[in-house]
Amino acid sequence: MSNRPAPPRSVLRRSAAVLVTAAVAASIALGGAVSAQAASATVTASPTTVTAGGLTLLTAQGFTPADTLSFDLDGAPLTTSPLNGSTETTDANGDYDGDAWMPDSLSAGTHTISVTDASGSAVASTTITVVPRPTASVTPASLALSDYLATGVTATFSGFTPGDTVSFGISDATSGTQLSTTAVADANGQATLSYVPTAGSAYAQVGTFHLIAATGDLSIVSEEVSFEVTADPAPSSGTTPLVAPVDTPVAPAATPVKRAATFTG
Amino acid sequence: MPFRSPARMQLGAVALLSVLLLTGCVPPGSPDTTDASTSALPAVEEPTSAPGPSAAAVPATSATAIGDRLAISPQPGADAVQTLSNPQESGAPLTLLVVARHDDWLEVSLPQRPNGSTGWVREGDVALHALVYSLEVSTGQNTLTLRENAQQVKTYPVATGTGGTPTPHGSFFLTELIEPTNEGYGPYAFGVSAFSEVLTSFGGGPGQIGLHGTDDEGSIGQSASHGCIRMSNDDITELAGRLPLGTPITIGP
Repeated sequence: MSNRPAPPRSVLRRSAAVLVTAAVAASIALGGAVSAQAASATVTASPTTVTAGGLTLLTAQGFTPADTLSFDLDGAPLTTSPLNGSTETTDANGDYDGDAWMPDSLSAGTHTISVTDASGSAVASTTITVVPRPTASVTPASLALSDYLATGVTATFSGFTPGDTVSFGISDATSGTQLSTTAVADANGQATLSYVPTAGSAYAQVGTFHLIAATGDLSIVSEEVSFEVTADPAPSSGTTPLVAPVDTPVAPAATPVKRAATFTG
Repeated sequence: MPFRSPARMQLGAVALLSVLLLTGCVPPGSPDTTDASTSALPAVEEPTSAPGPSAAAVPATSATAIGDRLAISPQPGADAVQTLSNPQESGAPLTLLVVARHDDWLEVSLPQRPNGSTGWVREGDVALHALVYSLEVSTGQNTLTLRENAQQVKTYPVATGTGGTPTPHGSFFLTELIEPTNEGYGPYAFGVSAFSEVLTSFGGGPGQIGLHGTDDEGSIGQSASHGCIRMSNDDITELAGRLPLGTPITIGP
């Protein structure tokens, strides 16, 4: 999705960018998947394997200093979030680092990311491999608040690489947060989250909540799974539950009425 | 990949979650009224809960109007604020799902907006029947599970609403059984006491959710409908021969 909000910037990104740059250099030395149509312009993606909705870091090098870059994914504009500064502009060395979120609709397979400078004279491209999102399930999918607060829910995410450290997030209709819990994907690529909400938190109440899982670098993002928390039984105050008397006849199957139907279809 | 610091990862994850929220397709609003009223009642609580043996043996109860009109009061003993016709406009008998009792008054679910509406009727104005079947629909899994005395009998693949026209969640009941004379609904169509949250009218009707067959069996198993729950024609025929009016149907994620 090209209009994703940029992740908040952090001073910590600078050191991360240094690490990434070093890694990119190593990748090039090893013959990584980089092609350059201009004399020395290159672009690399790190990591090169992502899911739809995942994140990759794009590093462009060999451009003119202070040049404005334009990225595209398979020909469609791709907005990146610069690690330094606020625009997609190269630094004094002609280099640029920016995060790119992959669209949710991106199909599995090989896709091409290209970058062009302002004049169009320098162009470079690289490829990424999009893999299917890990699948998700939750048990129970619906439960009463008191049960939720006592025992929580268990979500299973399948499709990670065995050994991956997986982070989890929870959200409702208005907010989301990362959980402090992480898990390591087992030999089958499965990561399990047992989530019991903290009493008083925004997620410890009646409502519908969503869980996702992602690798630490957010390149592999699972499908979302939802569960519903319903209200506990209210105190009866003179109203009693209706239990059909023992001699109540069992209802017969409905008799159909022949006519036009007008339901929503 | 170890390139990103934990702090950066966390910030990114929060942003990612925010994006997921913006693109999520879970319909807003939970049927609190429905849940609050039904959850007080073991008689109908089971269909709203995860499968469990505790409420398994307690059937729900339907109330079918005896006269040609049924008075609905907002509280036990209060004056009626509306009356419902019996039979209904569709020609089906007026049958409602009972959710509570207070002396000789019964609280019943009403097939009207807003979803989850209830009212009170005099016990003497209705005939009670025990309901041994219940239905659970998962809009996430696109399945419908049939239970008999709370024991799972069978799970059917269904189609439910798209992100733009979602099938509303909550606790409802079957209001009528139609043998459609028009195309698109298959051989049978149950009315459900739920109404679309986005379509106020459809095909000359009020946007009422149906459980029916289809002329497009390829859509089954997908989120493809305008809010209705579609089944194969064989499956709806099987249910039509089995389920009474008033049968509870719980729709969840």
